Amino acid sequence: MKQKLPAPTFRKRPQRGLRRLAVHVVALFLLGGLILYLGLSGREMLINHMDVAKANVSIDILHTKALADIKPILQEYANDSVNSILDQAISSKKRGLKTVVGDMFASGSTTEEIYLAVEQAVFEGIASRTDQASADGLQAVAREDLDKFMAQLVQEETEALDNLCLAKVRKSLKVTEKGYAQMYYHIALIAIGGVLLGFATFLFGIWLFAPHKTKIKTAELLEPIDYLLPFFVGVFIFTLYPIVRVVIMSFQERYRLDGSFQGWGLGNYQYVIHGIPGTSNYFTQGLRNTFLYVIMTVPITTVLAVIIAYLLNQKLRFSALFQTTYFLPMVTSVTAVGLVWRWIFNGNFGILNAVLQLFGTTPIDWLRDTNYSMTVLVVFGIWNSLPFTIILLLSGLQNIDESYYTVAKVDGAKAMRIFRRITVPLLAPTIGLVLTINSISAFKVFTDVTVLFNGSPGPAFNMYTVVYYIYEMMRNRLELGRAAAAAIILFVFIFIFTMLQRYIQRKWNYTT
Amino acid sequence: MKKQNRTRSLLGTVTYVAGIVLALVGSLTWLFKETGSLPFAVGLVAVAIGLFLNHSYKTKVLSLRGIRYFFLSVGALIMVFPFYWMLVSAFKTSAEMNLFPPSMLPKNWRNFNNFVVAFQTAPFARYFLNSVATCLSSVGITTFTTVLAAFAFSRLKFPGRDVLFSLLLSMMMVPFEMLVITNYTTIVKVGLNDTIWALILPFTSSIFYTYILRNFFVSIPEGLYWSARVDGCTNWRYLWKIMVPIARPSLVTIVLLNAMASWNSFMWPLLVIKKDINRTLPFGLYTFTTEVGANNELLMAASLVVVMPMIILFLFARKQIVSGVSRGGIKG
Repeated sequence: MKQKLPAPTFRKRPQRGLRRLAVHVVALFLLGGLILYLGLSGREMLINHMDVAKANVSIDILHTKALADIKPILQEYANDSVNSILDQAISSKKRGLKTVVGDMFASGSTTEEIYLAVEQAVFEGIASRTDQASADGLQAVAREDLDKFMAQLVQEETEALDNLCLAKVRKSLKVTEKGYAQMYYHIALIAIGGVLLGFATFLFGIWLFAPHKTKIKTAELLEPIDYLLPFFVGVFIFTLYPIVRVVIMSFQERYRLDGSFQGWGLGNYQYVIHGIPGTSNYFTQGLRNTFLYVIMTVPITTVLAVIIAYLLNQKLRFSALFQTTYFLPMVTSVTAVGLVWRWIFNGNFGILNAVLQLFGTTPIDWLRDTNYSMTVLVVFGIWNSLPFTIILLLSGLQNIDESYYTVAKVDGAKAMRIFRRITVPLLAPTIGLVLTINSISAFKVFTDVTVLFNGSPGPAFNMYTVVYYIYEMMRNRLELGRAAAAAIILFVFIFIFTMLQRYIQRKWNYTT
Repeated sequence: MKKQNRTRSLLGTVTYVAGIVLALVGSLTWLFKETGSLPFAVGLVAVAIGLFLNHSYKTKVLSLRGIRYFFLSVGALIMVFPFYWMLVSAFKTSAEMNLFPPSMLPKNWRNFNNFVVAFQTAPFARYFLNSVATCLSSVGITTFTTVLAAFAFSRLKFPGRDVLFSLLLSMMMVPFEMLVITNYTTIVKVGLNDTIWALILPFTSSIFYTYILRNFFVSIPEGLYWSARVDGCTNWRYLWKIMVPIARPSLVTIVLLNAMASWNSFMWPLLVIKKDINRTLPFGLYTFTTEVGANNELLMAASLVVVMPMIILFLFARKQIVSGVSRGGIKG
């Protein structure tokens, strides 16, 4: 008896592409609309800001400038006795007049009316101090000049208002303003929103009119974009843009956090390298310290780590225990551990001095004596980078083929000879790798200094490092341009070591 | 094989063993009671005499092994000492702290006063919460974006894929210290400085972890992918049902490294955070030092609290962390 198999049912694959297309159209429309809305409302807010700014400019000219400039005009016609009265009159009216001007401005009075009110207030002030007649007299004599002055003032105001465009208001925005980002980036937001909407319309057009094959093809092209988009949003904003921007910033002289800078040029580099003549240059000091730190920590760490890794790689009881203890500093926060080291190095009650005393050394004030600052930093640095180095070297040792050792033992080679002739040469690539990686991270030493010396670069500003200098320029002095220049100089050094590392890695991959 | 010097003497063995015991006891008492340098020295001499009297092959091997263990133990003690000292000091009273030479053990192990005072002086619970929140969210988001991007770079075909990827790799060597300048201005301009968002948003995608994961994804046979596709599996389902489970070790590596970096990050919070309630643990601890000044026992108690979660994590996931670090080749 033959049983008929049911016909295989296939899901309609192409539908999937269509669905993807539809989802994209909807999502893009929504996202583009949202961004466009944000940009447009930012623009709206900025225009409101401009109105406020315009009013402020007008009030400022009509009040402060009018009051200040009316004085010399009147002084020409007034005698000495009136002069002192004039001063009093103007200063007594100053404050009250501002609100009056503001109110008049808000209620829509013309510039001339406001000006006349200001003028009138001054004369009222004079009259209340002398008599009405002399005030009137003064006004009559100075009439012509005052009229000229008014015309000039009105012109000045219109010019100032014309000068005030949206771009200028945008530049003068304070970072603390509410909705700052929305206003500051409104052009970019509108552009992005527009592009997204355009793209959405394009896809919608394809969905409506294009042949089926094109639809599927478009959907397939969209897929990688979907997978990469969340990743690239972050990369663009926080990696790619900063790289480009920091290079540009380093050429903007004295670029500050509020976005102001004093022209283009090499001024930042000059400042960083030469400093202010006659004062100590903390950048070169930092460079010197950093190099010293690299030269001292990296080789010592590597030698110690080779020995320890070699010992750990032998057959060992309690190897888990040993590994745990050796690797522990790697996972713990440098801040917390730095505090303990500070306590260990403490000049009065520190355990290090107590131990040294057993050997008859007089107590040393490790953290306050400038002669020992570098020693403290180096010891801490070595302790901190040992675990990482040991781990890499250990895995390098474990990658060495066991048969080399077996052959050498059969041939009767001694342990020392095996170590020198087999272990070290085969470990050389790993050692090279460790040297470069450690150098790169030692170039960036910052946290260690901050924590060990309690937030200052050494006991007597003697322990600047390059990154500390960058940090200080950025955070405390707000000189971002100079920080950028210093960062780029640092990058040059790191770049050299990175190239070395890549070279070693490539060679290593080739040999094994 | 001829074994040289089969000299064995009971006297030698006894001196040898006694010397080791004496040296050990001496060194320990020397450390704790600061008398005992004499027994230590005598012990060392005794070991030497014992070796001289009794240098058979076996003792030689044994003593070599002993030396090895000795060196390793000394190194391990030095490495672990700061943690021991942190623990001990956290339980000392301030009078005990100001003893010189310091005592190696606190008088009273049940003295939790320092912890209480530290928690009252600074909102460590809040710091802890902030740290956990930033750590979890940034690690979660990064892992998600990394998985997607690594999949796209390893399995999906699109024009310019390899060029794009090598471009990303070249961006990897730019140190964070350089990016920090612009990121700082960006965060300030967007108005997110002094919020938790400033700690999370810049760390939502990582080229480095994508690179690691992509390399692992590439090593998974491509035949698996195509057979799944032929069976009607979408890319999305293939990624989450097949690839991610296979790549679990690599994922664990990434998550652990990322969590460590996030938990211990210091410079970035120092830059963007001002308010007390937004601080993370390391930064909060750092500002705590200026608040309590010379009260080191409080600092030690607080440090212990900061260090503990990572130590516990390390004890449980030592193998993964170690293999992750050796594979990733970055400093934690």
